[in-house]
Amino acid sequence: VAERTDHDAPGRAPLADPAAARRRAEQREARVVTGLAELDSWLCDQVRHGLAASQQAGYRHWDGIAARMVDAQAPGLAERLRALAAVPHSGAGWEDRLLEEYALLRLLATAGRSQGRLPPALRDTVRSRVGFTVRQADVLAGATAVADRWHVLARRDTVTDRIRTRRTWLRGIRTGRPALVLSFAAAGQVLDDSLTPGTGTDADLAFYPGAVALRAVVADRRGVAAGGVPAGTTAAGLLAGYAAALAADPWLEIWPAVLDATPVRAGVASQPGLRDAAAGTLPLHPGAGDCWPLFALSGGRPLTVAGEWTPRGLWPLTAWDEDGRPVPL
Amino acid sequence: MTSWRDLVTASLIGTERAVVPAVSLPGLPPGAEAAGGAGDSAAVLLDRAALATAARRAGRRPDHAEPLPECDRDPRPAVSPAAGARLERMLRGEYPGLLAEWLAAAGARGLRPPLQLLPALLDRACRAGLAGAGLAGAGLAGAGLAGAGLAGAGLQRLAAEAGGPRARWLAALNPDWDFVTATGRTGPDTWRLGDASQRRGYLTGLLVSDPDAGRELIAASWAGAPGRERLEFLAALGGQLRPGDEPALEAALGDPSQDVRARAADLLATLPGSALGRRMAGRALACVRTEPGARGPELIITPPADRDDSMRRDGIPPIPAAPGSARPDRRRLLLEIVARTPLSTWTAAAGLSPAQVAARPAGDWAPALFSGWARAAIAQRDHDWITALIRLAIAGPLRFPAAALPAVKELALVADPALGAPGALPEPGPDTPPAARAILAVLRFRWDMLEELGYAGGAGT
Repeated sequence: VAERTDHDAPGRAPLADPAAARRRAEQREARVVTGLAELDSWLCDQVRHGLAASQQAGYRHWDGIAARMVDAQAPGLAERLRALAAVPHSGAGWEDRLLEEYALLRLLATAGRSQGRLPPALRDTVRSRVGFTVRQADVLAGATAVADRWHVLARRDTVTDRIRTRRTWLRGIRTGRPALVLSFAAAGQVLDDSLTPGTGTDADLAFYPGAVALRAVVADRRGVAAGGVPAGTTAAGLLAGYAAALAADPWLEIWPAVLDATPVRAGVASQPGLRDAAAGTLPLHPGAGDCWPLFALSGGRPLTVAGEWTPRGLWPLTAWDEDGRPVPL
Repeated sequence: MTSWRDLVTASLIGTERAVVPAVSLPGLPPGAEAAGGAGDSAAVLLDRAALATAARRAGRRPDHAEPLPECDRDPRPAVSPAAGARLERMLRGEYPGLLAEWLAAAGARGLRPPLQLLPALLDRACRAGLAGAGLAGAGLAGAGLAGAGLAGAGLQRLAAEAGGPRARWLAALNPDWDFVTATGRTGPDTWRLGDASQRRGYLTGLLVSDPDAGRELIAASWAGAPGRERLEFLAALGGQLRPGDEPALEAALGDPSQDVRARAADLLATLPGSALGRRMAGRALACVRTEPGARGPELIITPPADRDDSMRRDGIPPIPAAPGSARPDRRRLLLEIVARTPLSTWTAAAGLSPAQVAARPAGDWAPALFSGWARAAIAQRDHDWITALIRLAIAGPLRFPAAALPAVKELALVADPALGAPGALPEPGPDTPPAARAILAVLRFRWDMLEELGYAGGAGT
C-alpha cells in the first residue's frame, strides 16, 4: 500500500559529507533502474512461457525475484512480489488476478525507468510504490498541513512478515478529504490506539506526496470530538470516486468507502453484498467472511458502512447502528 | 469483457504459442491500444493487460441484487455498553458457563443483547445443542449436574428469546440457526414432524408454559419412544421437577436403558423427600459417623467395599479401581453416595449448620467428602451449603484432587451472587490455593456481570 517509514526517525542529521551522500543516492538510483529492468524481463518471461504452471509453482518462484528486488533496493516491489505467491491459490479468477498484478508491475517497472518524463506527483507515487521512503520528518516539514475535524471512519490490522500494520481511515468533515494513517508494530510492540473509529478528532494532517495523496501523518492534534454518523454515498458514487482516483494512480487497490446500503445475500452459499437505495449492489470481499454481524445490525434495513473498496469487493470495517452508534466489525 | 478473457487465455498459454489479442476499450483514443505494439509480444500482452485492468476497475458498474425482507422492530432496549462488552468476552470463551445466566438476567430486565453479537450467540447455542444431545447421559458423574442435554436446549431457548425478532430474521437466512424458530413454534406439528432439536425445543417450552400438558405429552409418548428420546424427556423435565414426578421416575429406575436409569436416579436424588433420597441417606449415615476427637468431634468414615445391587439400581455408577490397587476406590464410592444424599441428612439430626458439619476433620477422606457435598449442594440448589463450602475452600487448607476441580468451580457458578461483592469474601492471598482463586474469580465476574445488567447489589437471580 505505502512504504514503511521509521516512526522514531530523528530529524535530519547533519551530513558529514554531502558529496558522499549524493554518491550513495546516485548508486541507489542506478541499482533500482537495473532492478526494474530485471523485473521487466522476468515478467515478460512469465507471460512468454505461460501462467498456467503458476498453480504448481511454490512460493520460491516469487521469493527469488522478490529477493533480487531487495538487492536492488526496491523493497516496495519485493513486498508486492512476495504477496503474489498466494494469488494462484486464492480461488476462482486467480488467473485474472495474476495477470492484473503482472501487468501493473510491468507498468510500474516501465514508469520507474522513465521517471524523468513523469509529472512530479505521479513520479512521487511511482517512487513510493517502488520502495523509496519519505521520512516522516520531511513530510511534517514539507507540505502545508490540512486542518480539519477528522472523522475516524474505520481501521484494519494486517500482519506481514511478523510486522503488524494498522490502517486507519479518516475523512475531513469540512474538506471531505480522505486520509490514511499507518501505524506499524513489530512483535511485542503495540499499535497506535489513539484514533478510535467512530470518533472525531481536531487535527492538522500532513500528507505524503503522491498523485492520490491519501497517506498522512498527524502533525498536530488538538482534541477529540464527537464523530456522528458519516455521510455515505451510493454504489455508483463509490465506484466513480475510485475511478477518478485510478485515473491518477492506476496502482491504487484500496480506496476508502462509506456507503449507505443494506446487506443482501441470495443464500447461505452466495457471496454477500451491499445494496444501495437505487438497487446498485457491490460484493463484499470474500476474505471478510460471512459478515453475519453486519446482517444482524441491519435486519434488512439500510445502514452506513465504512470500509475498504478493493477490486475484489468491499471489506466492511465499521457500521453505524440505528441509534447512530459505531460498531467495529 | 471478451478481450480481457482473450488476454487471460493467451497469458495462460504463453506468448510463445499464443497470439496476443487486440483489446477494444470504449472511449480509448485511437492508437492508444497500440502502445508498445512493436517488439516483444510478451511485453505487448502485459501492456494491453495493464490498460484493460485500469479500464475494468475504473469502468466497473454496480451489480443488482434483490433486497431481503425487513425484520420486525424489537421494542426492547439494548443492554449497556459494559454489559455488551462482557457478553462479547463470554462469547469469546470467558466463563461460557455463565452465558445462560447473563441471558436470563438480561431477559428478566427486558433488555436485549447488542445486535452484532447475535450471530456469535446463535453459533454458541447451536453448538451447545449438538453437544448436549451427545452428553445427555453424563449425569451426576460429569460436571454438568443439571444435564448437558437440558443445558443445550435451555441455552438455545434463552438465546432465541434474547435474540427476539432479529434472531428469527437471521435464522431465516442461515439454516444452522433453525432452532430459533423451532423453540418459538407451538402446536403439535412440531412435535409430530420436527427433528430432534425442534422436538426438544418444543417440549422444553411446553414444560415452562404448561407444565401439566408437558407431562401428559411425556407420559403419552414414553412407551413408544426409543431410549435416546426417553433420555431427552428426562433432560427436559430436569429443570422443573415437582414432587408428583416421583412415581414416573421410580418406574424409570427399571428402564431397559442404562442411561435412562442413571438419569432418573440423578433426578430423584434432587427431588426433596424422595424415597431414593431416604435410601441414600441411610447409606450415607452408615458410612459416616461422628466421634469425639482430641480437638472436638471428628468424622469417622467407613464406606462399603464396593457398590451393591441396590446402589446400582439407585444410580451409583461402577466404581473404578483405587490408584495402585485392584480393589474399587472407596473414596470414589463415598463421593458418589454423598453426592446423592439429601443435605438435610447431615444437619437436621445433629442440629448443626452446614458450615459446622463441613468444618469437621475427616482426615484423608476430606477431599472426597467435600466433592460429594459440592455436587449435592449444586444438584439440590442448597445455598447455605454452597456458601459454607465456598468459605471452607477459600479459608481451609484443603487440597483438592484434580478430579474434584470441576465440581468446586461449579459451586461458584451457582452460588449466591452476593458472595462476589467486594469484601464479601477474603481477598486471595499468597497462600490461597488455585481452586480457591478460581472460585473467587468466578464470583467476582458474576457480581460485575449482574451489576451491569441492573441488579443493584448483584442479587436477583
